[in-house]
Amino acid sequence: MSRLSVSPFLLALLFPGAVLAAETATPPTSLDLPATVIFSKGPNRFVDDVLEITKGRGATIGWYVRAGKEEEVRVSVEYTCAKPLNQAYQLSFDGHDRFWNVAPTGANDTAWTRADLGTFRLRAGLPVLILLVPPTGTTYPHPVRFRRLIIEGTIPGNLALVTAPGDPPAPDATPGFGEKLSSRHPALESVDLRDESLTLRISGMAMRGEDELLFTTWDGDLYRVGLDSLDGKNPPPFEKIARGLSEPMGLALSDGRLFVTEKNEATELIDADGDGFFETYRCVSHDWPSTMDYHEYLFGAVIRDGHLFFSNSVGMAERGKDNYQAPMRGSVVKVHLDSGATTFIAGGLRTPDGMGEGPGGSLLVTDNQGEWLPSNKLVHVTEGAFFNFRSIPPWHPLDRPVATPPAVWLPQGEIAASPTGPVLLPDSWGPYAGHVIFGDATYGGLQRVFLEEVGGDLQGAVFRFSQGFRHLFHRFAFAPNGDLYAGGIARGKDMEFIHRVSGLTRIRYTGGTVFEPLAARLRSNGLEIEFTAPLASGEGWNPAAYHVAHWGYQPTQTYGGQKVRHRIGGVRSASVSADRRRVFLELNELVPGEVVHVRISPAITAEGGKKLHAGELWYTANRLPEGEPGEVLPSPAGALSSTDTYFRFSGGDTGRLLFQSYCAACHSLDDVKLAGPVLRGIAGSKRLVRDPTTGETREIEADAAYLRQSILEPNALLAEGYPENLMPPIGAILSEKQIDELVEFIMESGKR
Amino acid sequence: MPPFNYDPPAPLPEIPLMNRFLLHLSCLCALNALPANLPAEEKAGLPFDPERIRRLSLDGVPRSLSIRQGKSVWLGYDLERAAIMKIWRAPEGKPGLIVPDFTTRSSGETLRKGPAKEERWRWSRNGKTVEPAIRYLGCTQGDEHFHLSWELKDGESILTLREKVPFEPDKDKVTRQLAVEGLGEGEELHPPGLGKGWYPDATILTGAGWHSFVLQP
Repeated sequence: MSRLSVSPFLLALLFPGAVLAAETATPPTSLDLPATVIFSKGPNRFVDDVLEITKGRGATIGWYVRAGKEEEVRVSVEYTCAKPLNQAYQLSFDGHDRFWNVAPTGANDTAWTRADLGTFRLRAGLPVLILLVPPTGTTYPHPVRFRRLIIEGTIPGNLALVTAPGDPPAPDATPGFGEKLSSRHPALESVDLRDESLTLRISGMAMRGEDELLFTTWDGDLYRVGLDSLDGKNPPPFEKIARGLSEPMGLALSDGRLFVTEKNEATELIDADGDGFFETYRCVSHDWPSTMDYHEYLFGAVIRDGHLFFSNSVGMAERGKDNYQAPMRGSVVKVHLDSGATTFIAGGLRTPDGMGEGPGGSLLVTDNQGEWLPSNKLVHVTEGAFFNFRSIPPWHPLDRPVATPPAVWLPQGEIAASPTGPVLLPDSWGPYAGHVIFGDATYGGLQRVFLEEVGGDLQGAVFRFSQGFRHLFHRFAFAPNGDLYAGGIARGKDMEFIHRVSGLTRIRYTGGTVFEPLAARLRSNGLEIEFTAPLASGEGWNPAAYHVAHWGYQPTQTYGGQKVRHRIGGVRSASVSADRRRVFLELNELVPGEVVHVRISPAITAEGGKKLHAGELWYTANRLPEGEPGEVLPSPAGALSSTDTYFRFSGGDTGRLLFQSYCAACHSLDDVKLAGPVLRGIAGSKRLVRDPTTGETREIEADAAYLRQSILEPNALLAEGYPENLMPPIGAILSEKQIDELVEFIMESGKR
Repeated sequence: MPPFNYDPPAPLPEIPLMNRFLLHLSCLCALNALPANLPAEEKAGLPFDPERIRRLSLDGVPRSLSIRQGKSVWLGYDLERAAIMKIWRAPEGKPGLIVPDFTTRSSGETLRKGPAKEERWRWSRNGKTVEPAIRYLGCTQGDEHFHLSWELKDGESILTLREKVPFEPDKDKVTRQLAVEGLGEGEELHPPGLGKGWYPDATILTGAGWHSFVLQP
């Protein structure tokens, strides 16, 4: 033992205060994350420095931590809890999950207990988000009393608590540039083929031969229509050729055989007597458990190599109580067409409404935001993939600690809300051939995805493409001539929730050139954007013409999620290719797993002066290409001297953006009735509300406090006519400040 | 991760199901090419009239369907058990099925409840009695009958169970017709839910022919 190490010991004996002074002089190796500085307590309460958690939905117990150097840390929690809970807490540490079964500590509130939650690798550099997530939907009469999370490392002074960064300012928005498009893509023509006398909630579509379109409806019918009979003027001669199907959500044909995915089984429809109507429903497979949950569907139908592929969604009826799921829900299922042999090739899906084939024979699935999905996504299905939706045990057999990332995140409210069937665009669609479009049962329109292979897997970008249709598209089928038949679906009955109705639309690509970003390809030092037409000479070189933001997502067992580390990214340079169709943006940083959001200034024009139809893309950078840098070119003289104001920042936009991301899918600020109450004129208005605990209905004056409570505790006072658990607990993912800004925005907007 | 505790079903043999199903189907079509007294829409050729057959979950059983056999008598089938779960008579002048949100609920007088959960198909062979695994194979609407079929499996041995439900729109009697294929000599199949209250009250299926059972009033 050296003299240096003995000295403190002697000092401790003689002068205890001196040791304290010596210790405080040494930076600590551990970091306390106190309850008092979490993002949001939700509907729970603080007693001094202790958070008493009685409601799982609504609290955001989280902190950002920064490490100077990478190191392994141990995480523990200090708490008391009188009785056991029915589900585990989730510790989400920079996207790595542990589950904490809260052991009761007895009735004594002061019996503080420390529970070890395991060790994690803490990376250096960017702040890391740590979330302690209560069981989703669970309410328990006794509190879990939580005081602090403790992170113990070994490097003195390495760890620091960072103030939550919040969302950076966004440029002012117009349709196509920070806002949803408001019109149809200029190169698309569409014909509404709705028969006003019919409610056709189209749930599956396929071509039979070259000129016959088949489609199923949610209500259980199968129709046929000859394409040559569609004149766009008279009601289409739809002919019902089968009925009595159980909520079919997918339809596919192979060698003249017709397969439907129904609620509880995959079915082959057989017309053995050849009269044109189907009288035999052969159950191809039902080899997975099924419950009465309304939300257990089989979605999509793709046939390849003698097998039918589809996915099965998870249940939701019980989500207000727990997160139990029947085994094998959330799977991609593969069934042999003849033998019915069934295998589960991927798991971890939630509401995988759409399935389709992508470029290179890939199989793509869209999934909807919710529990375990902080945003919507397009996933590339590979054997053994697990896409992160977890139920309480029993776990999906493919569940594993590190989930398969989506090929493309589809940020909620910005570009998707309920994405539906993806479809690969054929050669006849000119520059868009090989791209994928998908619809949306809430957001509407068509969104376009460009995919590229990086590091052996698909990733890419989603682009704004088209709005301006009457229907909310759900399923698609291409005619041999390249006409796209798009089947619409409305949630609930026609006109019940959403002003756009169900039915059929024919969409034709006219071949016209529309100036817009076409593709985005990741390079090791930035992002290359390809345009549909050459930029005007001298344009595109100024980095200020591109507003770039980065963020990640961190899935949790509560509904939805916020952008993680949302920040503005610097554009170091912009280089325009010789043919002026491509611009390489040299970016200051690229972090694997994050979304790179690019807004292109509407001031950029094409050769000939054509303006951008839309100027926005979201690239999901799961992997960074190694050794493939984009070429940084010297800008031509005068190219950077433009006096254009590429973006304006009027400020005060946070509330609008929050509303767009978290509210607009269900609440309108005009008179359009969506899934939730209309918020127009809400400030100071009289509203009928129901207390679900007593069943009593009363009239209240809607003020900021009421809105705030509705965000934090959606089930506390229900707008009359709306059921419990319809509104997700978005308060759980918003900070107090964000809730203030959101409430202020709604109150102000609602006055109009 | 915690251990997974559900064993997915074992892959099924690649060949026989489809072929057997189509064979049965062609037989059934031949059997049913006879004129029938059926509702107008079925005469037009479109099967699965919802007034006669509903393939939506019945009374909280996810995989089930309902068939109106007579004027007002309905049979509810639990497809995963290959068993009738309930027989009931609709109230006078009212529908026998209430259809809330893609599910169905029986309405009316219960004539017969289905067998208890623990009562299962039993297959006696080689001096042993086993409870075979059941797999629903599908249904067909013919002109005079509605057909259901299942696979009953014990190891590599497979039986095909077929049931015909005759449409008797002018009557209110309950008739079941069952046939089984694949039984070896001396083998017997014991259906759940038959016996007392049915005529005949024999509860053994042997051979490949059709066995008819009529519910006694």
